[in-house]
Amino acid sequence: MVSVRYQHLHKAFGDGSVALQDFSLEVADGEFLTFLGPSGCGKTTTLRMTAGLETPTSGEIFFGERPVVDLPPGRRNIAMVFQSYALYPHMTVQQNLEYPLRKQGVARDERARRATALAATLQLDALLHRRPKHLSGGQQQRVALGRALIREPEVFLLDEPLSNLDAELRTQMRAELIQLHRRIGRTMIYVTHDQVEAMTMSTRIAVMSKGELQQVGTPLEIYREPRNRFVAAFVGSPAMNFVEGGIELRDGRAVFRAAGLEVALPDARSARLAGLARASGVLAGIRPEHLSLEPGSGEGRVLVVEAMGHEDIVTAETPAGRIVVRSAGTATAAAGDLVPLRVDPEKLHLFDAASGERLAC
Amino acid sequence: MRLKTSDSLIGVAFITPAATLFLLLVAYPLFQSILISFSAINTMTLKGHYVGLANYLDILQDQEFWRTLVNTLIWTAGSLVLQVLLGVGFALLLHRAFPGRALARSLVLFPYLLSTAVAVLVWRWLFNDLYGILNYGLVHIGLIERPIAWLSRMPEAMISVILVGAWKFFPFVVIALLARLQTIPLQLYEAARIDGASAVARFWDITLPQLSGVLAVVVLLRSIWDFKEFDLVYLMTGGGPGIGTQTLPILVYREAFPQLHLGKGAAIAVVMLLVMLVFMLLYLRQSARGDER
Amino acid sequence: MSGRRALRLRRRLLRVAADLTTWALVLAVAFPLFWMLGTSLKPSAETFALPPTLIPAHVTFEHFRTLLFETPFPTYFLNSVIVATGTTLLVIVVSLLGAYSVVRFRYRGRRLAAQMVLFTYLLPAVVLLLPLYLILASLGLVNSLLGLILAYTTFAMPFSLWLLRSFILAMPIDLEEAAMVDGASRVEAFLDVVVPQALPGIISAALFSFILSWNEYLYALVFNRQDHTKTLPPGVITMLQQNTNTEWSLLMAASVMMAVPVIVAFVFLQRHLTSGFGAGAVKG
Repeated sequence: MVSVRYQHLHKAFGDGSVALQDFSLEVADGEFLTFLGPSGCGKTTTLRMTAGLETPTSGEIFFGERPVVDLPPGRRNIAMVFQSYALYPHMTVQQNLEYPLRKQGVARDERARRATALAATLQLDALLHRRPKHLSGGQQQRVALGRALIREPEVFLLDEPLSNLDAELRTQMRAELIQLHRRIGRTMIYVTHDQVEAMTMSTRIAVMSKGELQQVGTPLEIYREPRNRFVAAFVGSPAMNFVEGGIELRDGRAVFRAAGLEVALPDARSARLAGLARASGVLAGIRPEHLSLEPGSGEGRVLVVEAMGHEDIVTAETPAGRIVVRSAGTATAAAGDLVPLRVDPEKLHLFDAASGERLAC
Repeated sequence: MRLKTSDSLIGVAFITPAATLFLLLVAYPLFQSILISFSAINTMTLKGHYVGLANYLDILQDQEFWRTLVNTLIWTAGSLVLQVLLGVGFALLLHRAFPGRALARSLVLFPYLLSTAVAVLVWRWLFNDLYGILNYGLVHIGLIERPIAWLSRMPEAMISVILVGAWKFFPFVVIALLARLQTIPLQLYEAARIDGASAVARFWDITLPQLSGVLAVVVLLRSIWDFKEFDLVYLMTGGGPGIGTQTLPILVYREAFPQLHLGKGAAIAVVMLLVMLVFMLLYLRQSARGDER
Repeated sequence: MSGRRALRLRRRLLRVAADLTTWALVLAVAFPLFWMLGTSLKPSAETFALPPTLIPAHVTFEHFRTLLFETPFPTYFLNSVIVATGTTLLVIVVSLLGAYSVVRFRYRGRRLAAQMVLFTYLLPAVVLLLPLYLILASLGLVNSLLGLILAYTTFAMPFSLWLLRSFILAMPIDLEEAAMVDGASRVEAFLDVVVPQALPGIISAALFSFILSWNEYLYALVFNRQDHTKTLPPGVITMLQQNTNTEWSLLMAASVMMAVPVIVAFVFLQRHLTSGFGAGAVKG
């Protein structure tokens, strides 16, 4: 049982591109931590450095109190599930499962016993003598997971393990991974660009962009209080709307004002925002689920309505730009309509337009 | 991958045997070849001395060298053209589905894998002036009046060598093109059909452009290999009659071994290499382009 | 209705005609091979019969018997087997290691190494002939099978390196990384994962190395002039030149025997032909 600590980790590649900059983070013992970000954000590089498949340019990684940067992957007591599963194609399922044990020098009988037992819990018992190419995607996934589980490692590394599965199987595997983590209680580090996976499975999420850590927090913290524009835009679906404007004080009350849009902020926030009043340079972030087609904040002309059944995704053109609204119900609007818009003032996010940082509130 | 010292040590260790063999058996000999070409050395006694550019000047003034160079070009061009024509034709024929296709492909590819010595023996038997079936057949159908001594008259000898060369080496073109033909997406043809292209138009507008990349590589490779071909020409005619079919590799061999002029032989080999360097650089460029894709 | 039937009939006839033409051309190309086989099975007298018999009137194996018991052919054959096998084993081990190194490791001169391989692959044998002769002479390896094996690596090694390089290039690196995470060292990952994966490439490279060495004539002609170290191609050609009365049926029997290992290799090779040949020999 072990925690993982990244200390001022830095990684530059031979061609001069920087994959990771001054990355520091502690993954607690038994935690399920997800690196979330778009491709090229450095999340996979960080995972691979954790595994020992890449060497950091500078900085250190600790497993517990033990520095591991100089250890080869095989001696870190980790297991990794690859995006491609990386099942050995010339070996049967059983041989694949036994391989890590073989490399540890476990005796043949013991290997077979453990592989068979594990296969039973993963419902692979009927497939032990098949080759990977004769398995379905879901079965291959299980074998990859089994090969990671069999040596009972201290840290599990999972590199987008669900991205090659179809939607239904992915949902099912998400639930299984959550259960698995609860059962074995080991530290798991998970890499994905899929925010749904990150939100549903993680204890904490580390959002990354362009080689830098943007924010670390529980899924709810990330959703409720995104630290900057990037995190706000990346998490949430449909994505957050952004409207540029200013904050003005009216009768001691802070009001966000943009072209054709006005949101009076609640009292509690007003006080804190008083010092930040300015005519422009403020970016308001509004999640589509915090908008409704009611009078209050402004209005817009409907461009498209996507009917989801239980709700409509309404895209409207306003003087402040395009705004997407999640409108509960059926046939709430039609293209061409002029609709009123109301923003939930409690849920309005405010950022500095220049730096993208969250404004204190 | 990781960049650890132990790791790059393994990398270096793995390349060492190949590099050693390369340095010992290719790089060093190549270098020595150039040194020898500046000396007059007797092949038997291996005694000799430095003569500067004398060997090269000697070659350039030598009528035989120029005649041999022309022969080499005729052989290379003639055989190459036939190889490409036969190669494209058979590749298209063998790409179609027909009964016994696998066997037909094997039969066509086989000459390429056969030892040149065997191929030459068989053809010399076919070409035999007295009992060869070729002469018999040609006389029988009335194309010629009496048997021809194919390999001891010009230009028949050169024609024969070119024909046998085409037969022996065109399967290489077939293999390369067949591999490429398999990868042309069927949708291209379906789209062209919907657009109203006839079978002929489909060949010109789809098949040929798709093959052009491989064809360029194949033509370069085959011209390099035909230019340096020794076995086939030497075994067919020994370069004869006279020096009628003598090509550069044969000249190198003759200067160095029967005539014992090791230095002059080496000089001819170096000149040959210089000529081929043009094609080799073209090929390297073409294949680098292929790698990028 | 009958119009469509006529059209279908015409198409079918065209198809049959095309099939027949294809086979006629294929048989024309293969004719020398059949003629070789036919001649080797004819009694000597029938060889010179006019008109020639396409299929032997009397089938005889006397030439094969003569070849095996009254000529040095068996020695040549054995020498060829030793040289071709030796070359193949040496070349495969060396080029598998080399190809893996060139593909997976970064070090200075790696690109140059790859270019050199291709360059050597195109190098004319005759350019290396003279200096190789000197080297083998100084090592005392002229007229030895080992000398010939070394000489053959000059063309078999670049070929195999290139072919195996393209095989390893196409191999996902994930598998090696998975093996290393699972506890394998770098070398173990190579042995456990890369080698089994490269097996089709290894087979192709081995068969081609074998065939190239089996068929080579020039180096064999120059380096090994004594009968007891001669390989098949120069050996059989000597048999052609020695007799004033050429025994064509004997020579054709020798040709058939020389072709047999190639046919065997070819049958194995066929499955890998497009992948191996396409990857290694054509596409750079």
